[in-house]
Amino acid sequence: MINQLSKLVLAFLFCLSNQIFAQEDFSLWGSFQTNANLFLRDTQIGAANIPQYDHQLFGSETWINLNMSYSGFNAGIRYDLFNNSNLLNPQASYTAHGLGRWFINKEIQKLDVSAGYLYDQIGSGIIYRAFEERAQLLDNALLGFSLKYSFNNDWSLKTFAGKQKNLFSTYNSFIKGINLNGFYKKSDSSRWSIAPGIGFVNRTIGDELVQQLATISGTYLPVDQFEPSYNCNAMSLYNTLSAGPISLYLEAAVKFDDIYYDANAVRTLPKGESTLGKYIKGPGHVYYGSLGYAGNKLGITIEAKRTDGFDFRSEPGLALNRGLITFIPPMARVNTYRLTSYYYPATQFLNEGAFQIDLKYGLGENWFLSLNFSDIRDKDFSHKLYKEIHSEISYKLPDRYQLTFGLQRQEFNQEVYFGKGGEPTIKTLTPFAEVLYDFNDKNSLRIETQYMSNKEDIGSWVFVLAEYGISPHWLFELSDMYNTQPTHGKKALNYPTLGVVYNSGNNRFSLRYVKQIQGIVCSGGICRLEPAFSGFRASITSNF
Amino acid sequence: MKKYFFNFILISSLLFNSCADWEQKTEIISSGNINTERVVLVEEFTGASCPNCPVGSAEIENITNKYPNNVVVLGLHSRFLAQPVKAEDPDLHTTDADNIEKFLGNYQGKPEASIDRKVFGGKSDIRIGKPDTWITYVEEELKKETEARLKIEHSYNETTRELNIKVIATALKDLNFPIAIHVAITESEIHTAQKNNTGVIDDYTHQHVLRKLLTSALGGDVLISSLSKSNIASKEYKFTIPIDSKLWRVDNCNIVAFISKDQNTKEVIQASEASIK
Repeated sequence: MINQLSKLVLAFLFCLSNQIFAQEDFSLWGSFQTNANLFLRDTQIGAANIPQYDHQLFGSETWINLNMSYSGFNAGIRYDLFNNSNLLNPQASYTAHGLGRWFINKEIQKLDVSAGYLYDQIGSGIIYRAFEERAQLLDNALLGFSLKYSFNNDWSLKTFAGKQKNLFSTYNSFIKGINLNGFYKKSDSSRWSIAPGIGFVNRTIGDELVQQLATISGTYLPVDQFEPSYNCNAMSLYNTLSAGPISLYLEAAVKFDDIYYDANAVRTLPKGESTLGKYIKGPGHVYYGSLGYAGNKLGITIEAKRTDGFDFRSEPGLALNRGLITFIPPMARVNTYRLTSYYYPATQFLNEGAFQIDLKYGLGENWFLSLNFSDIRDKDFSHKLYKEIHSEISYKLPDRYQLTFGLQRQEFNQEVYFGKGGEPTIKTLTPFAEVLYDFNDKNSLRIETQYMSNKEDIGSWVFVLAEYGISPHWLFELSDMYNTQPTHGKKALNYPTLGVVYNSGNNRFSLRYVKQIQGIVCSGGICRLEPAFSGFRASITSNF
Repeated sequence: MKKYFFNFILISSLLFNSCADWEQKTEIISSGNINTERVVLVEEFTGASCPNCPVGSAEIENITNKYPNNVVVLGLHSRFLAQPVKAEDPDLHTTDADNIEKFLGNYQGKPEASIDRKVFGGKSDIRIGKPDTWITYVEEELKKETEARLKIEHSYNETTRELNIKVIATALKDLNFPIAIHVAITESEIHTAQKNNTGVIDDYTHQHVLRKLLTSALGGDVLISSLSKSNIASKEYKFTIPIDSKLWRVDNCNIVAFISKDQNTKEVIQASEASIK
């Protein structure tokens, strides 16, 4: 059915573009991205025992996007191609290709109509967010339609319905929602305004899934049984209050009786013993707030969040990053340096309480200070999960050089984030420094270095990177990561990277030789295991 | 507009608070006990350094307690998280387990189980996580028609430790496809340290551990190209039980046999188990 629909849409787009190609207000644009990996087996670093290292040797991912607009119509298609890719499951190989996305959109006076694979969100995304994250092969687009009616410039009502995308098919549930967004300011001269919103989402799961849940519940003892059901509703109320330099965003989301899997819930077995992991039916809540101040040279953001039982997915049995309807804002700083970003706390959907303070201050014309503190605990704020203090000082002399140095302290609960029961909390202390020197308008050198002191898990590491840029085309990269104090009887090894990037207009080509340790890749609070890598990585990105 | 907004919130809240009454109750499906000749193969992917794996093993015990004569278990200590917790512990990891893991394809982690090596409805892989759901797939398989009987005959020489095995398959319907046979030796009551969610269990008892596969891990050995109803096919194997200070206690060893469809399908038709002594 989906394939037939896709062909129909392609044919329609083709006919439409043929007819209107010569028109003046017709525009066509797109992009191309391909990543290719050559896998070179290295058992010393653990780059082995998956099909790519054992016998496939080559893997790639490609996305081709084509968008057009004409006379108020907007449309687009995306073709996805995966060959021996380990993006979907780092332990396995995935080969498939097909139409990854199509959409068509038209604004008819105050009504905006869209159909196809649609990306959208309600509020901050807690009860609904459809988005794409290629680094993890996440594509939660909704295959369906969306209608948005704008009453005026400030108030609009949106409704949508469809099925969530699951690679080249869809999950066995139907999602629909409604969302009212507004804006109110007493007068143009008023110093304050509000932007309230409310949203509802309903998910109805398919017969087969409900029967499965009814059967699973039947195998539980009565004390653990849950009542299977088709529907789950979620509601969110949010508002942004702006008053001069201060803005306050508050959101409260509730999910009424939903069935979800709790891997830490205790289940009783027939002989009286107990084990962990069972389906639960119950409500969920997320409360989230963000208070920001943006003054002259000073910026402060304070965020707080409490999550209880909010694992909201297209199908109750899904795990990891699959089928997520919810997106719960992460509460830790997104670090960019190799070692300061190694440990990142994945958002806990069932049990989390957290707050974060971020402060930025400009001292004079050249000095910039940054301080971030995040503290993530369980929902009762009693059991520590993650703590980070990140301080950074920069000195910038435009067109000459830029110096950055700082210190990061992390406490990372391995039991929760890595599932390593009984292992102690990882405590790291990571000083870092970076210098960017412009020799002239064309040539620049960037050197960064970090040292992570760590007695647990992977031990202590040093990382050094040098990047030489010849504007506007070339960038050369050389880096190494070395285990100065290995743990668990592991060998001290070098993990070098050597790369070159060539930019030409809208095209970017890169080729890198990479040795990379196993780690966790996180994006937007969603994390997953990234296995060790050994080999060559090539990529091409192009916009046209 | 403000008035509309608050009215909208009020009406919506009322609607959604009462929505529990909209849906009729769905009854829980209780399977009871299933009486059948069918014997299901459960392959449990586990490891001594896998903190979540005791949860899987507890579920396996739950299943075998409910269906003692209808379930055969292979505990596969494949490479991932299989290393011994303590240096003095015996290493339960085997290359046979690794090879089965590769043969069965994609996996997410451990504990996972394959039930009759089948890809069930709504699943994309043979291996299934969430141990509390395994019994539902076992029961789905037990409800299927029994296509063949499988019998293990064997003799064991205590002096030479030589084991002679004969596996006999009897078709209960026409089986018009190639049949593969798989034979393995398992060992139970092995005591080692085991990681769990809170630390390390110093004395943990491992059951059904695959010690040796006597047939090819890549789809077994060919038993026969097809088998008509009531006909018999058999195959014999010899194996000498190794001498080891910590493992290969013959009293705790079992012979496991199962037959499957051709390699492409992988699906197991029937399984059987017999203790060596």
